[in-house]
Amino acid sequence: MADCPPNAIRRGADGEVSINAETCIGCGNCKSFCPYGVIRMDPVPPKKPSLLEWLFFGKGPGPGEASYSWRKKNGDPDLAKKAIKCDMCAGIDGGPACVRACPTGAAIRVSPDKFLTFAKITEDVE
Amino acid sequence: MASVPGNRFKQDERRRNADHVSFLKHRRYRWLWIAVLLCLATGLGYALIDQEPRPNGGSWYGYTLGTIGLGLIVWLSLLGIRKRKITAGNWSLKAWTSAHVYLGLALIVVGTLHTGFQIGWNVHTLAYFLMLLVIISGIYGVIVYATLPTTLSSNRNEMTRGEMLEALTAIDRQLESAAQPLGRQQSDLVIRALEQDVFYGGAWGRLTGTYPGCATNRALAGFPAMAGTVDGASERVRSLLVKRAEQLAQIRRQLRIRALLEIWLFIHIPATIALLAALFAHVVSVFYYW
Repeated sequence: MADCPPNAIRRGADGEVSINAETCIGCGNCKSFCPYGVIRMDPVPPKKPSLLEWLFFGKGPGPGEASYSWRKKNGDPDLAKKAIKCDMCAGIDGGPACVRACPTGAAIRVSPDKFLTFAKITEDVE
Repeated sequence: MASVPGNRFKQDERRRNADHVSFLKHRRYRWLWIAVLLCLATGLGYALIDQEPRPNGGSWYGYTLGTIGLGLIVWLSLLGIRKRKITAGNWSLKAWTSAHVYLGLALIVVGTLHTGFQIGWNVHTLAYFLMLLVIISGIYGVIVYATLPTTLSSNRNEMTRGEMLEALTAIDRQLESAAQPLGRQQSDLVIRALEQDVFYGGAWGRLTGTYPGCATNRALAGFPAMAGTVDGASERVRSLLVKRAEQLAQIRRQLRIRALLEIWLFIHIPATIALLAALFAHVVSVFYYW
């Protein structure tokens, strides 16, 4: 896209926008210009202790995204901030984690052409 | 979509269409059928297999039912781990939840048959009743998950929680300036209403939606509706207080529904931990006194 100096932000075939973490230089243009406010600047978070270590010994911040203060305390201060956004878990086996993690079936992915008419879809399909 | 090969697109499309289905109806009630089959099979076995001297957890069939029950309980309690460990792979928490609900219900049959209807004051019965407590709280959870979210969104009226509080703050600002010309007594009523914590009320108030000490309602009682009153300030304050009470009621309804949606977990989870402990004691004692 026009305002990305290394041309790291691209639109995929299905309309999704993804940022190449390798080539991103962290200038923050995309964050300032994003009309939806979904891009933010953050370094790669430090590795968290495992779930069982948290469960039994209280190590680390627990499940979910670690808080800013924990990341700041435990992260590498020299690591550069880069632009990140939801990339639909691209490259992760099994698809978007939010859909897999939703216990009630409320979170789903729909194709862009269906999105606007989605409210009309009934549950007759299954 | 041109870049997606035809078969892949079709497959994705089917998944997209099928996925917006509640966990109860997941895959055409697959886990309901499995649970029903499990109940029928264990029930038939109980009825047909001759257990000597009487049906008991210690007969070979009792041990079989106990092993199935133990396996189910341990697996069902692993849902808490599964939902916090977002690993890669083709798993869906919805499928897990569906299986959790239906297999958990089947546990009533499996567990009861395992007891051989022998109930006493001991650790074995303790484990059985803890299991029933967990299942009953879970049934409550399924019912509120199926019914309350609709009420929650209709109560929201397209406002976010933040907007509800902002609306209240705006009313409070107007109320404060409108109350300036009032006399001492009425001013005190308004000040008390404004000073009261929006989230006042304990757990009971949250769950039942009753707030007997609500200062806004008290203030309203101190401003009786007078037709054709000459006192414009007091009339304006009264209408603002009515607005405030309505806004508070919406926030409180929201809190109440949220509380009803969450309260069962405060029983379900601790009871599960207690059940696992009781189950451990039950199994160890059974084999110790073999």
